[in-house]
Amino acid sequence: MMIWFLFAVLTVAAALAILAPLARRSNAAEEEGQGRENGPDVAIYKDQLTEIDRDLDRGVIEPEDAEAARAEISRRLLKAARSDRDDAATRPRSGSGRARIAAALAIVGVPLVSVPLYLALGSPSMPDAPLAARLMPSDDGFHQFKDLVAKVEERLARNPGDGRGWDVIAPAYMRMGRAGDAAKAYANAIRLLGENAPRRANQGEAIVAANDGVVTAEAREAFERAVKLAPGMVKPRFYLALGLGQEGKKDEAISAWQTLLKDAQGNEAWVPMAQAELRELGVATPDAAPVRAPGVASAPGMSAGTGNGAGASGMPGPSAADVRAAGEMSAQDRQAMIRGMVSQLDERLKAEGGSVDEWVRLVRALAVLGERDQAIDAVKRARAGLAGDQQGLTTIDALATQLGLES
Amino acid sequence: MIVELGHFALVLALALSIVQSVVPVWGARMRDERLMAVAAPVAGVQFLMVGLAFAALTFAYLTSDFSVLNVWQNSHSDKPLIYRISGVWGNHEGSMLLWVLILALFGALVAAFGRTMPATLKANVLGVQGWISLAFLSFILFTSNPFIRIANPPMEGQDLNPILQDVGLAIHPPLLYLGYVGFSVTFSFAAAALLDGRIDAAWARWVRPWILIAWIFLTLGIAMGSYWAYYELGWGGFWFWDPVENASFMPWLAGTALLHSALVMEKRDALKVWTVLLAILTFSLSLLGTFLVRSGVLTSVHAFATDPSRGVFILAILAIFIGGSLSLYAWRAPMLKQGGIFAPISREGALILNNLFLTAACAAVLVGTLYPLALDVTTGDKISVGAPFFNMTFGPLMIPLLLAIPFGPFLAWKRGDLLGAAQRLMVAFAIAIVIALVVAWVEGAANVMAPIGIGIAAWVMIGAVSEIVWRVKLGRIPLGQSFSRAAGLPRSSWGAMLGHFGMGATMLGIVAVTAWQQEVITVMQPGETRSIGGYDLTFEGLTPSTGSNYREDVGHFSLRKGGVMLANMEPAKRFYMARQMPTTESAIETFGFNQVYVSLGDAKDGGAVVMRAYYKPLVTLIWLGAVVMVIGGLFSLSDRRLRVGAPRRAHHAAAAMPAE
Repeated sequence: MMIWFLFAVLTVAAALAILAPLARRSNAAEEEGQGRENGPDVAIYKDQLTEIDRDLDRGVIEPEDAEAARAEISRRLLKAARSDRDDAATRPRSGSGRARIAAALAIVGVPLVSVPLYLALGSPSMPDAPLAARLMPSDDGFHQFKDLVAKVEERLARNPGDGRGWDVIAPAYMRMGRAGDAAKAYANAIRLLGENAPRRANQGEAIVAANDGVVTAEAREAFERAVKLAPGMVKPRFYLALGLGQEGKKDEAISAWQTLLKDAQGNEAWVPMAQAELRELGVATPDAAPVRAPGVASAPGMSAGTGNGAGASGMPGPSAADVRAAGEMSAQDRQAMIRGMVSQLDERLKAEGGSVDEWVRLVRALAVLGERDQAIDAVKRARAGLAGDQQGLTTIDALATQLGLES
Repeated sequence: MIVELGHFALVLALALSIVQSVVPVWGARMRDERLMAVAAPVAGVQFLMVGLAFAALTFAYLTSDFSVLNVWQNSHSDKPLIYRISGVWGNHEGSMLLWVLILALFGALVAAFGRTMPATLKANVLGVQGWISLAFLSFILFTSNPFIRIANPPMEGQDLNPILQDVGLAIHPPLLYLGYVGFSVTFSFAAAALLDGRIDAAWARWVRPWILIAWIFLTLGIAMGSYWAYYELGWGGFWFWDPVENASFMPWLAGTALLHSALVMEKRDALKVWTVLLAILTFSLSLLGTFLVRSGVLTSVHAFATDPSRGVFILAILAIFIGGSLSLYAWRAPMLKQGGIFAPISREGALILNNLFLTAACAAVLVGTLYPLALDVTTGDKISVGAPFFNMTFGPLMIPLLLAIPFGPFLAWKRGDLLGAAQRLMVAFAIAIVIALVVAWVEGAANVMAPIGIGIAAWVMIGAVSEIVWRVKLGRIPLGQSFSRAAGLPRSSWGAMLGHFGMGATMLGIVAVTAWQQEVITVMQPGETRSIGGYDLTFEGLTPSTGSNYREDVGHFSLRKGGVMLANMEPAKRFYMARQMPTTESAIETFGFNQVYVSLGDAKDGGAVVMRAYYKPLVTLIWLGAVVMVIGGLFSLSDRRLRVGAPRRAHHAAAAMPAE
């Protein structure tokens, strides 16, 4: 409520700035104008006349030229004085009609522009969130946590072979939103202490987070190792399913999600997300899950993904989800994600070839992204890859014509 | 709540700018005093509103309020206080807000100090300021809003680009913006004169202080930016002909020309049409600079914004303001009456010569800056136009200009005596020649350009001094009388002398560094010594250390001359954790005008390190010269001529701020 009162005060101040000069007695301004016998330009020319004498003394102007200049300035002076008088004679009266229009503009126009515009842009209900106020007294832990991280970092700088140190610091990095560091730390821990399923799964997760939610080949490898070590583990299978969806392997993704859901109790945090993914792939799911946390980064085990929700540790790092909530970023991120997916598909087709459908998907995606040259290149590669498949070649040719990709 | 209050204040400022762009201009058209009177208080309150918005954003930075997207993207709770403040304008959104704040400040200043101006001129000037405000406030609110919030605020920010975490950044952009935006006032004056169809010597006198203020800040801003690049980027270079630097240099060249042509207009009522055009062009170049830097068209250390929608928006602003003002110019300029006549050899003629060379040089820089962009857009070829192009075009244009500088002040108005001026400059000329010959003799035939360059620099400096010497008749009349004559000289004379002298000093620094800089790039083991420029540099070792938001490896060097210990130099390589970015921190020792400069490269095995050391003779003159130029500008600004009509202001001192 308070904030609306302050908005009103500001608006009134703005309106007053317009109203005050309009409300002056209409001839007050004129009197002021006539108070001066002459306009300001007359004063300047008078001053210039005296300046000529000084210039003459300094030798900046020759005597005969000074005379001429004096005559010149005197002419200007007379002209200025005359035009000032003319001005005074023709100075029109302040029309009260115009003043009324301007006053109406102040009272109605200013709020009419500012309030709707602010409502469209601002978030009036959102309080300030200074960091100090958000750290509860018990959250001194936040600082302790940072000190701890700094200590471990120092130790690791001295002794990079300390596997346990890497193991400790990796999840801490993850919480601080330093996903790239976390991925390296997990890799070090695995190198020094050997691999196990949780380390591999967390490494993959960190790689995904560092790549804006894209399950890259490197991440996939980590998850696959984790599944090999612990076939029942949910996290790697979740990300692998996600990765299949990103690569466009629709059927495989659907079956992966379904297998995953079969093992679920039903109350795990990731279940609604998995169901949402399935729906996105066009499969009806038993119950319409509640609001889906936005973005692929909202995966199980990632405290960041759940924001400040109940399950969070109280110190989530900035996550992709938070940024998306800001609205502006989402288009960009989505673009990045699509590009990630397309380039993966591209790599796979390059390495092992693929079906007609996959080639079509690739060409279409590249064309949609505006990568015309790459799309043309993809058409060429598709023709080479499908040599012998007459029906496939026809499909590709038709597609190329349709998208205008004839090179 | 404070953040939202700032956001609302910014929206209100937009609403006010609409009023300010319409009502006063309408009033001036109708000659309605009351409508015109609206301009001043509205400009004042608009400044207060933008100030409130800026304060609110600063508050969010100070308290690390990561619920503001802009703060989260560019700040960090570990960041030292000063960089939390400078972080406000160390990013696209915040720097645009600073831009508009300065624009509103200039509007309020015109409103407060323009009491002696004719009402219609003042109303039109503030009206045009209102158009600019409206354009940039819309740009901020619709494409670069710094007040966007995050629903679930993260606990830690992403930190400011480490290369920008430097005292230089805290000062450089505000100075530069004061210069850029200051020229908006001269632009508004020009547009107002065209709207009014009236322009005279008095106009030039009202606009001159604004040109001077803008020029002073732009000079300082460019010098500061150059020094910042010198010590922060680790190359030891002071000017790169980088498009971003050119973007600030072009308005400076045009502004310097404007400064001189306004002088002619004020004194002689001549060059009116040209002066108005220059005023328009100067601000257009400022806008172009803003466009180049802010649109992300360029990718360099400065372009921390990349978003095409913004680029298109600024391009539209650019097209509307430049196109609009030039159309207005084409339509109205022929109606302006021409004033005084003068002979080709005269003070006026000299100033025209100055204008010709400055604008030609500006055009050369413009071509060198825009050509690669145009080529990239049309053909997709990426080329880079570097120092050789500018040395071939800009250099030859500067030499005749520099040679001519000392003559100008010796020539009389209307009709000058070139021979007389030459005679009075004989001493300066002789000294310059002697200096050049001495340099040539020491240097040998190896380097022809050094003696010529030093000679020209000396000529400019001594020529500037000899004008004052001649004016006060030093040596021709008793010393006491000379002193009283010196005291009686108008401050603008001293200003001109200092401005020209500073130009010569800068030139001297540039020539000396270019000709005699020494450079050593080598791998050093601890305990090893290298000598450079007569100094011995010993590498003592490398130690790691930790700052508040970075880790660094600090190299320890001791600097000796003839065995005498002079200084410890500690260049460092820093690594900023949050952004995962390295930076170099160079170490600089100053001896007189000379500097020894050390920066670190990569560490090698066994404690060795790659290091780069320079000996830079007279390098500080480059920036000290700019400082002298600025002092000259301040002298001119304090000249009594510019305070004509000031007595009236004294009575109104209490009411100077219309907003209260």
